[in-house]
Amino acid sequence: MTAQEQTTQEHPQGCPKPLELVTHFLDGGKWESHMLGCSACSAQIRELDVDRKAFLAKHPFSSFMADLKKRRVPKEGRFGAFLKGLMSFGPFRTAAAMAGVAALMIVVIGRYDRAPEVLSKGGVDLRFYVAGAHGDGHEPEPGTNAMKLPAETALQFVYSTSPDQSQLLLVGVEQNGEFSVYFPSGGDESATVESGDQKKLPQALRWQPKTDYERFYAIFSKDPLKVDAVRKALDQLKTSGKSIEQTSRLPLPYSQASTIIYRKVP
Amino acid sequence: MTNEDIRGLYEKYGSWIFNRARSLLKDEQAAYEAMQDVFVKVMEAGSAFRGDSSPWTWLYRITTNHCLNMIRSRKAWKRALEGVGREQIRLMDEPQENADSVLINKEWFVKQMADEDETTQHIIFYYYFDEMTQEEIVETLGISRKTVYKKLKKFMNKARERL
Repeated sequence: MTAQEQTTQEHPQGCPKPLELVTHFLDGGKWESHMLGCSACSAQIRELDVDRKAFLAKHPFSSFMADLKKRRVPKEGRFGAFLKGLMSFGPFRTAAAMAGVAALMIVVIGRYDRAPEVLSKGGVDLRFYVAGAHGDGHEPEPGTNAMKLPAETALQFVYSTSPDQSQLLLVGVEQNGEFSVYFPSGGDESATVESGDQKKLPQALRWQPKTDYERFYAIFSKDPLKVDAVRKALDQLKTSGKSIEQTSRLPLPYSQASTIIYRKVP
Repeated sequence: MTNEDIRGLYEKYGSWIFNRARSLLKDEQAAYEAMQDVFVKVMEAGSAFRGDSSPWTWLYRITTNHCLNMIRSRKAWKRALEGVGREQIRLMDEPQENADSVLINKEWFVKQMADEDETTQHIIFYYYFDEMTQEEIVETLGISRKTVYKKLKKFMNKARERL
């Protein structure tokens, strides 16, 4: 057990909370006088220091950066650069504004390099990247579940699946129960995708929620799955009175992964 | 952000990001990769990050959210919460100070928690295991105070009914 884990055990009254202790160790602050008089906290602080030194001996900065570079993708061909170029094209911006660009589909070239170990549990997964989260010119940032994003944000979904579950249907369900099929675009059933870890969907989308949130479900199956089956599952949910916000899994007998995005009101 | 900036952050905070990730994911390799993901976010945030008055708070939030998003099954929650927090949890009647409460075993608590939607799971984790205030959770998850309160209350009601 590390010192950090030890600090999460019940702490005596008057002592800092575990997170406060670590914060004090890292950045100093209001607990200085307490530390001088509390042997338990001082001992934990000493252990924190030992932990940090041991970590740096095992994972020096140079090896960390070398590992990180292996996982990062070269700038050229990245989704962000592509999107930035696309959005700076005047006629496109005008057309986008006029038409509302209901669901802009962008063919994305290149791939996100991820370590293959992530899929070792054999499950399925759905994640997304957000373009321009920190303004123009920045790389796409990994999105997080329950993230708040403004409408019109460009999203790139990535999935993980195994060869025996290579049919994918990606749907988005809004707060009011309306749903959209994002993959495959068009058609009334799932499509075959390449199995593996962190595979990018061939198209990105521009998020255009009408309500406060949208939950995205990636449903993986062995055989093709009809969109009608999803519709029925949603009807079933509606009858049971369960909201989409609370439902991370649709009542369907297939492997699923879901993520919810909340609309950020400017 | 220069290489030296990153080195400074890594040498000061890297072990904490790693320990935090490992304590939740219970897997060295996954924790190391989670730490890499966090540093990628740091680099992408660039100057916006440098302007943050409290890097550790920001890093802690990013790391925890990132790891919680990787925990999906009941088994994974159980594993994640081993060694984290107290063995007994004080389950209150409502999310307010001085509310009536009852002490319950962490294992039972985690079982109830695992059935909740992801947002509720994250709120519960921060509230009971990280001992965050509702305001801190609002800031950490970027959701409204009303949502945090409602979800906590709903969970408490449900859990109390099952006791």
